[in-house]
Amino acid sequence: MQFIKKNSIVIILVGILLIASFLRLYTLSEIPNGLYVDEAEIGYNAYSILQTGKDEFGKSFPLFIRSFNVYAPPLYMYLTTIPIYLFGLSIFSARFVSAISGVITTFLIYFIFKKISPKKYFPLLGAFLFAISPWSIFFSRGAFEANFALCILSFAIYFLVYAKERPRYFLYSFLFLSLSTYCYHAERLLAYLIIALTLFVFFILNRNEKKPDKKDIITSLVLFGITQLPLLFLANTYAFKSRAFGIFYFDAINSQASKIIFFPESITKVLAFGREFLANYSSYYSPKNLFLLGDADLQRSIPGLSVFYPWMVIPYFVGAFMFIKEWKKNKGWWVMLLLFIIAPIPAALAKDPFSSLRALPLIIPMIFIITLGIEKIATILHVKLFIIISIVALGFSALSLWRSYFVLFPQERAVNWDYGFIELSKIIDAHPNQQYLIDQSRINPAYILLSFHMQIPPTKIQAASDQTIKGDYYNRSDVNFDYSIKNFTTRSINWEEDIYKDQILVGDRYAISDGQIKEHYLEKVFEIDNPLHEPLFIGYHTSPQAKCKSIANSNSHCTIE
Amino acid sequence: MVFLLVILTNLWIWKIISVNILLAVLLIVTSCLFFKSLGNKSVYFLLIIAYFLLFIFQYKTTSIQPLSALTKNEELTQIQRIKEYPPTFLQLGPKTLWIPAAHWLEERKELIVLRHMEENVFEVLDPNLYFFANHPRERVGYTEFEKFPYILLPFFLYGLYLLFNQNRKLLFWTPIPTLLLFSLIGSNNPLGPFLFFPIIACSIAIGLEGAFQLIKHLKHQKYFVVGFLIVFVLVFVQVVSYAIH
Repeated sequence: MQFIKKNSIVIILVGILLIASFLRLYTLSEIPNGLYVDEAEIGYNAYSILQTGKDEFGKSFPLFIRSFNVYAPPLYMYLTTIPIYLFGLSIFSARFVSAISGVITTFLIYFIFKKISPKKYFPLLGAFLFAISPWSIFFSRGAFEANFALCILSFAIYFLVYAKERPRYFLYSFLFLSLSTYCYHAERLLAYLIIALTLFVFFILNRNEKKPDKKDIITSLVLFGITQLPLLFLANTYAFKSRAFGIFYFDAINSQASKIIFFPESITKVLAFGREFLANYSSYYSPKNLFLLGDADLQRSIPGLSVFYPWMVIPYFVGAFMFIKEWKKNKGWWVMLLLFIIAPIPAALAKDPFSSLRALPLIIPMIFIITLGIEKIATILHVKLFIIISIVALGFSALSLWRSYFVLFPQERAVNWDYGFIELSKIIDAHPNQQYLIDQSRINPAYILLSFHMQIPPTKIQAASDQTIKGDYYNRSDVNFDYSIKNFTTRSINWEEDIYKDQILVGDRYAISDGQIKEHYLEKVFEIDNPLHEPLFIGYHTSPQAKCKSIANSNSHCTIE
Repeated sequence: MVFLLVILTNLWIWKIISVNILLAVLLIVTSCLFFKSLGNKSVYFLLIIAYFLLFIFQYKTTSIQPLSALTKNEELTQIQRIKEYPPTFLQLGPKTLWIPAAHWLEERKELIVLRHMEENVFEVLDPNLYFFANHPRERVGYTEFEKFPYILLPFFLYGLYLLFNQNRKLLFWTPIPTLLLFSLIGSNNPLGPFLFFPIIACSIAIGLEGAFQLIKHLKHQKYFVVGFLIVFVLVFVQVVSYAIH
């Protein structure tokens, strides 16, 4: 008993970490149901690097990973080589780094909050809320680089909150910030903003306070600069710029600017940008988005559950007020205020409304605010009433999570997570002498998904890829999903030729019409359904003989007498 | 002066004036009473009467959907979702206790009502509804329209904070019945959730006044004021342009 009392904090923290681990690792291979193309891309390239030291295009240890026609920071992919080495190429391995990042971030949240709040149970409550928040659970259970970047960013924040007492920590903080820029696009902007505003806070805002030693700051900045050099060397390449320009709302600005009367274009464009940016920015604080709707992208959201549980809106309002009211008294809170203000900036520059992926760093100050709110409510309410309300809220949260994430999500969103490719790969693997043509017109790049599930040796993919890419790796904006590997080909069906070859045509339910089935004597050989029993892929065997016979061998492709 | 600027330079009140002048007058009067009641408790009675009339207006002009009723789309989703649940049971020794989870979580009227109330409340709690015509998440089947110029959003938040410090009871008790009404009737109203107009307008006015107080001691305060007025005019023209387009 004495031991439990003495170590109560450690015991509760271990309990929270166990809950966090369970919610992130339980049925990780099965939910999300399927393997999204971006996950396959990361997993397969990690496999390729591990086996050959080169990515799928034959580029040795690239600094940006070419992911179709955009380029992604590479650190997640490199780290994924470890679980692939340990457990083999699997869905679990591809998602493992993200899941573990979620658990580590829970642990870091405890230590960050511990430093900035003197209250005993505040950091535990914060870590617990983070552990059970749908936002963190969702992104921890997919191979999302953004979730790993959040973990690295949390390390940076951890060192930053301790830096005032231990100036050496500036160095660690800035190094982790630099590292985060190699993890995810949003951090490439966020890291610079955090450093600039940290310097602003320490040297301009707090003029009367003891400043950190300039030597420590300069050393930290120099090391940050040095570790940024590899990225800066590529600053002029398509790889560096592609993501930022690809998702910015140029079209919206132009169309909105054209509506504004009286003013010249130079002013209307600034106004249109201002409104677009502020509308997006403000949407990241909207209770409607945070507690009801969630992300508009079906692949990045859970049916019937937003990024936080709906009841959290009450502590959100109370906490926001407490935060504004008391932040001057609590000097350590400046990091939370800074994150609260700047975290949605990269996301607000993108055209997707409320992108919970790009705004993921916002989860830290949001959890802080909600924790503040709960703490305040606890002081207002009678203990017994607070306990009853807490039990009801927790029960409701558990039920909501089970319903939305573990029951509805695997079935309703399977189609958004490229479900069906596992079964398709099994069919193709089981018939090595049969040729398959997968219609690429309306589906995500099939070659990488099939290569992942069929564990095709990387040398084969490297040989099948465009050989000119590796020569100008960081400047190629063109994209080609047409591949011929082993016994399958991925491209659009050519109805002039493909029906005269003995093969199986595979497409989604709209790829091949009833008229085409009749006209070309196609025979249905398999159908792969999604969990809602709707067809995802249908395979049709061609009948070249019957087709040629019907047209009296009049086509040049009819070689059979 | 600032209060008048806020009341007259928002497109919401002009839209209401164009549709129902009586309601517009009532809204302006309620806003004035709200503003006055911050430091003068004697107008509380008048404020309650004004709010009561506004409640009636809001209720009468809103197209109300019964909370337990499902739309065609929701019905289809419900039928689909019931099939998605696995068999749920508790094994208590030799006894198997079956739990009708699908029925409880998808079909129970109480939960359907609760979800609709939740949707209705969050709909009117969205700052983008009032400052960006619900952009970037415009609703299907609704005609979104511009209300307050978005440049006033920071002042609204600051004003809300000042208001809370100034008269916590008023700020606490005014939105609660308003939210309760919206949770029951929704906000499918051609004039929007105008019950919130007085509190938003007053918060903006208080926020603006507070901001002017903050810069009062600054050497170049007039540049800030002129700068703000220029940006305000630009944004106002922009918002009007979007509204008439």
